[in-house]
Amino acid sequence: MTHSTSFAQRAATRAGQLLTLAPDRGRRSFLRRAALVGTALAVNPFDFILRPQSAYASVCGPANECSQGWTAFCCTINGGANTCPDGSYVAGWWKVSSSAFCRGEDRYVIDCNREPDATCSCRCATGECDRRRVCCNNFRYGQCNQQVRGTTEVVCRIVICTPPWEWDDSCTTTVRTDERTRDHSASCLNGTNPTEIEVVYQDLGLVGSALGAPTSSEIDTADGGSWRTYDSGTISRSTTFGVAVLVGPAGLTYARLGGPDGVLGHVTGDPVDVAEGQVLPTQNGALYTTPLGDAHALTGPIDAEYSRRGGPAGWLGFPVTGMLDAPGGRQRVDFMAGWSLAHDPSTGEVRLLPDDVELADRPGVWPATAGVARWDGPTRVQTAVRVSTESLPDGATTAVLAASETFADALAGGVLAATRRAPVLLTSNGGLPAETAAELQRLGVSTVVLIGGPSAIPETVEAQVRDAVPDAQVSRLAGADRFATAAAVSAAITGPDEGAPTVYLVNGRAFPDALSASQAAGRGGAPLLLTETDLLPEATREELVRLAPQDVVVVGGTIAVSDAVAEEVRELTGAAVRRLLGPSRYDTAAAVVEEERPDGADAVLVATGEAFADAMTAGAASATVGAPLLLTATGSLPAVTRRAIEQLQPGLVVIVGGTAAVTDAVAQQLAAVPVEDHQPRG
Amino acid sequence: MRIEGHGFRVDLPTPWEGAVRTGEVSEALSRRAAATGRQVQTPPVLHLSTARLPAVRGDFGSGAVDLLTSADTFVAVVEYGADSLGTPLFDTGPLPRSLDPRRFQPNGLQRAIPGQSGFQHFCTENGRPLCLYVVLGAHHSARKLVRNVNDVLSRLQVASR
Repeated sequence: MTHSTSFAQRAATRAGQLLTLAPDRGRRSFLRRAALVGTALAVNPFDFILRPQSAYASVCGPANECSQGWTAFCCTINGGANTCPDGSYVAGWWKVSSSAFCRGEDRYVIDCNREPDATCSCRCATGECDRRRVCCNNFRYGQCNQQVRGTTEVVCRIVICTPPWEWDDSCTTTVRTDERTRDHSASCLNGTNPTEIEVVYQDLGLVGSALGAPTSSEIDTADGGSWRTYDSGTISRSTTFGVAVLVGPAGLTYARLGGPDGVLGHVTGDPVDVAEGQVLPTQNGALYTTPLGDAHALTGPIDAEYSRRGGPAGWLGFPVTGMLDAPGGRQRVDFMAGWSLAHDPSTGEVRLLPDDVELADRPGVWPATAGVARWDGPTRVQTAVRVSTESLPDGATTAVLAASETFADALAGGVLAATRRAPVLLTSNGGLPAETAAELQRLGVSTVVLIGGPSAIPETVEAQVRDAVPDAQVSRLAGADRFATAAAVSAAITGPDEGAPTVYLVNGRAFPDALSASQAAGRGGAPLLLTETDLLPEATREELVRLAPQDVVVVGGTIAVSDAVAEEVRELTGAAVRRLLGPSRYDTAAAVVEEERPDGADAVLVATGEAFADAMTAGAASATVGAPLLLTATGSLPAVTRRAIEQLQPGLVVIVGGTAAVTDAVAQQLAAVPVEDHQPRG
Repeated sequence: MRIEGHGFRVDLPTPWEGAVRTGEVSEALSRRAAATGRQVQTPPVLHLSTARLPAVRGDFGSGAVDLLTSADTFVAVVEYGADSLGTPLFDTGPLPRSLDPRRFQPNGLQRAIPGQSGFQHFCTENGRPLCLYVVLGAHHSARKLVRNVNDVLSRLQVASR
């Protein structure tokens, strides 16, 4: 073994004792630096033969006494850290060519000068053999931090093998040389002929680096690489991929898993910042450092599937576990989104499942899931046509036509459509869309009901409807405002002389509660009326009196419909008034479905709860095809919706709307919801 | 004796000798810098001394200052890359031609050598960022030695690049 190994081991011993003195550095700046170093020193097979020298000369080089005038090395006076001590700054540097201390590459000596506002006194260092001067020589090389005027004393010197402009952004590329300092060194620095890992560690600052002190000797790998562990990370070297510095949780996790000899294999590239975390690629997977600061290793098919689904930037987010053993000889990983990926080696399959669902003990057996289909179109108008086509393939006698941009009229129209086994089709007020006209013709309708006044659906559109289906009766249900229009639709549902045992009442200014209410109302053949939050509109009041219901279902909380309005309804009608609500629009939708479908459903419709159009057309289709309608957020499946699907146990889930309304991530989640009894995960 | 090169020109009186040189870097280092969009710079260094200038010497005179007797002086005019222009360190006016002996200090040296003293000044002349570094062989003879230095500095011409 060469002298360099023994020096490194001595440094490691000292470093361990001095760890608490190591300055705290920012992780990101360190990693940036580490990446540069790793790249620069990837492979260097240069080897050197030690020249015969005296013991001290071979360690500290010539002129190592205070009286000989040179400045000491920082690691001698800075607790073993190859960094500028507090109160000093990087002021300049010089080069020594083709140095044995740097495996034949150039060696750079960096001066740490006293900061202008700091104080220090001239003294002699007390190193093992580096007893050079500290804070005495008022001199500056001047290539770094040129924003600092003037010259101060050199506190100490750093040694690196990385070009200074890569090591510190403030340094210029002006090269100054002093070959006569070729053999200057200290016992805390690397000796000649260091390993690549020793070079990298020294350039990072030795115990002053974010890695801290070494905790192992350098370990050789079977493929010719090596690695070494430290208090706060790992450095590994591959003959193929170069040197990698892993700091913090990723480095410690990598070491715990056996480094390059473990399941991950060698690090194959630089870390990539993703979504406030970091991904470090390895031969057999990757190390993921999460925004919370922990790290997890993923390997094999699960990591491949995770990458295919977008990795940390995808909807799954970062992993919250490493590879976990799961029943049936499988492995699984949990992710921030609340879902898991599981791999079954017996079949090679990787599947998505909720993280609270346990796997069966038998390999190859997975929780049953529903098929997922999507009824969509490029626009909401075309989605409405698609829903009509899918739900009424044999046509319909009646179609309801509503404005595509305003929800209030259309919601009431959805109830009417549901009671008449009719689709809701949409139109813009600029003209009847060709797709809508074609669908009216395909359906073979004999009646078309326009919902809303001319401001919502102009008379020109009404005329276009007549042209499209000349044999159909075209009528319009409208009132002076949205409340009156809803009342008119109500009268159309029941007939002018008939009451209704049940009436639904929702806020007429916001659509989320109304989406659920219209579905419930439509399936029950009950009118849907609208109200202001704190004021019961006159048209609604009159219709309530006319309907004389026994039950009034107020959908939504008191923010939507105040208790005062509910009480007024009770006094007005003498009906039992109850509320149907949940903490969110998704809960409300689930509550409606749970009340109506306690025994499950063969199919379920799912539409976005973030816009009204698709859910409105889906609401009518829900009644037509007998499938309850649930709501989802555009980007993720709400837990309450997932639980509702689990309870309904459908064979098919139909997404209503395009990927702009219900993303592919939600589609993936819907396809992974268990629809039969399963074990919860402990 | 005239020393001329890389935009420096000086007619030296006896017993001064001098040399102008630029640094050398390996092709590998140049390539490495180029890979990150940078260029390694090796601007010239002018060395003047009343003692012998050894072949191997540092840009700031290590090796040369070891040879100074109490009657000798060493002068280095070290140029920097153009990216240093206008920085506070160099934005101090032209290279001084008349130095004050009182500004020389035994600690004003890259390497303290008993008896010697030094002076360092960063400046800009004719668009060239420079560092003047002067070492006196004997601090106790500063008044006399600095007169010699000032004489040489007055002969120094720095052309624009």
